[in-house]
Amino acid sequence: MVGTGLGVLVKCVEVTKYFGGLPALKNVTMDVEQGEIRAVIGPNGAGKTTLFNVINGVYRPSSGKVFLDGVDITGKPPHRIFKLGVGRTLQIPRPFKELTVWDNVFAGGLFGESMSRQELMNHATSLLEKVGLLSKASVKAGVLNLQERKKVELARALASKPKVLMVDEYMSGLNPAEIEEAINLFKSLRKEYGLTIIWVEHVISAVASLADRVSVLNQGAKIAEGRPQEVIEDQAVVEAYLGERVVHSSESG
Amino acid sequence: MNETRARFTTLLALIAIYSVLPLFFLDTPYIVFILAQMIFFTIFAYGFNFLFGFTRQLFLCVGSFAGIGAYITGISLRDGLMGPVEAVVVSTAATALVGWAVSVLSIRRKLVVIFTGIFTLAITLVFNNTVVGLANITGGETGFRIRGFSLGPLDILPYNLRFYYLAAAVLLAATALSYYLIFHTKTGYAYRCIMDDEVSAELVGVDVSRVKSMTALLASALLGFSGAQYGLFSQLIAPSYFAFATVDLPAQIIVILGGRASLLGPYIGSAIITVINEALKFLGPLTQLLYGLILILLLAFFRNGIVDFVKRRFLPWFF
Repeated sequence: MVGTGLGVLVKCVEVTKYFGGLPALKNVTMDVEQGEIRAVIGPNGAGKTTLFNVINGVYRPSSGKVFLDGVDITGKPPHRIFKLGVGRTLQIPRPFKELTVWDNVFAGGLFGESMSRQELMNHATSLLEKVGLLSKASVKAGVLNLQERKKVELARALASKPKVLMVDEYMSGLNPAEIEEAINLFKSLRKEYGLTIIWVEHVISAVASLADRVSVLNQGAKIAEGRPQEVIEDQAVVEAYLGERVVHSSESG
Repeated sequence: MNETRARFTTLLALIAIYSVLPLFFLDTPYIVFILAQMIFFTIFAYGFNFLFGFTRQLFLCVGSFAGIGAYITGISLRDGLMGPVEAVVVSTAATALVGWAVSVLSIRRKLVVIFTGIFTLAITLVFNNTVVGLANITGGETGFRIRGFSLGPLDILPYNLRFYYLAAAVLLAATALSYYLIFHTKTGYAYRCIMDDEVSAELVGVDVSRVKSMTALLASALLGFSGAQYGLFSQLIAPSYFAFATVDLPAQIIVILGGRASLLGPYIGSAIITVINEALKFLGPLTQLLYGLILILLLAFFRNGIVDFVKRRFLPWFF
């Protein structure tokens, strides 16, 4: 196993979440180490976003616990978990549409860890520069295209200098050059801010080149975990993505 | 910062204007009465603006909240249950508590804007029925008179002027406090985030529930406080004075015409509505119909109000 040797930062213990009578997550246990980039993959409806919602407090799990740096954060409201150092972006980005790009990022740092106004302004500027939106700083976020909105949300999530960044599908819809650019962006963000990144993604090529470890969810349960190469070749994972029959036929052929 | 200075200057100008305005009309008590009435309605609009404009809580019981204040104070003074100060304090606290409870319940039960609207409209009906039903205490449909009440040192002024200055002091103090909260603390940013997207607001660390419930607490306190004074000013406390059509409808028009989520909007809106109201007095009961029409037109074509218009076109610092 790959380890950063810095200890576990985010720990999910037997997290289960029911909606009505239907389980969306079943006994998911996951340890994310400090400084790690952890990809969470799985087919549509596997429970990836639900897991994110449990970690950052949007949902309270039906059972199980979530720990951040050893502190039990299960069931705490999102704004509280945010203040403990968890930044998050959403699958469908929701920047503040009526606020400028700059104000979006500024707002992201305003309610978190105490920073001086000057410090926050410098930080916001450098983040906008990093994601490549500095030239659009005074544009209202509502007029941006999808990729730009994702970038605004990313910068907003980082404005409070979180320990953990949770990214929900950043790469889908990007062309190969943009994916390459995004991979480099995340690498440099981790390096510069000592971030731990938990990252839901569908673009497997990006996962393979960026993630330290991969957790695979299928129908709410964790079915595999390990280095990207190991996981992608894992029988259960291939079945989850492609269905059993296809696997059998490829075996016979 | 130039914008800050422009805003602050406007605030001072507002205080100056409202201090001297009635002095031009000392010979016509009727106009002073109308001005005092205008200020009371600006305050009611302020309450509604904080609830609906800044935090998206559609409270359709602004009149009832003012009424709770008026009835508690009026009955206490009429029957000698409490001194004037205690009565106003109790009125304010009671209304604040009701507003806070409604807000917390709406948040906990995840009532969206429209369900909060229906819920609070029901409160308006309950209030009205209670007041009419408890006729031996409240005087029922015809209400009761409350007269000869002293405002201490303000008694040297003519009757309408006393209440004008009392209400103006409350309104300007509320404006100054709001100004401070919105432009000099994080509250302004929290409001902007909540107005824009509550999910994202929570993601950047805004305690959305707390901001909403505290805003409801303060706005309701303001409504109860000024409602108590409005009852004394009117000298008659009756259900029709606090009915939906009498208070809520004008307050909504003032806020939407002037500009939601702005501090100057209610001033501008109420000034315009007062002038229109006086100019069209000859219509009699038809004014209600007119209010309805104005609200429909505003919602259809001018939802963002005058302040927003001025901000976009002329003065970006306008508030």
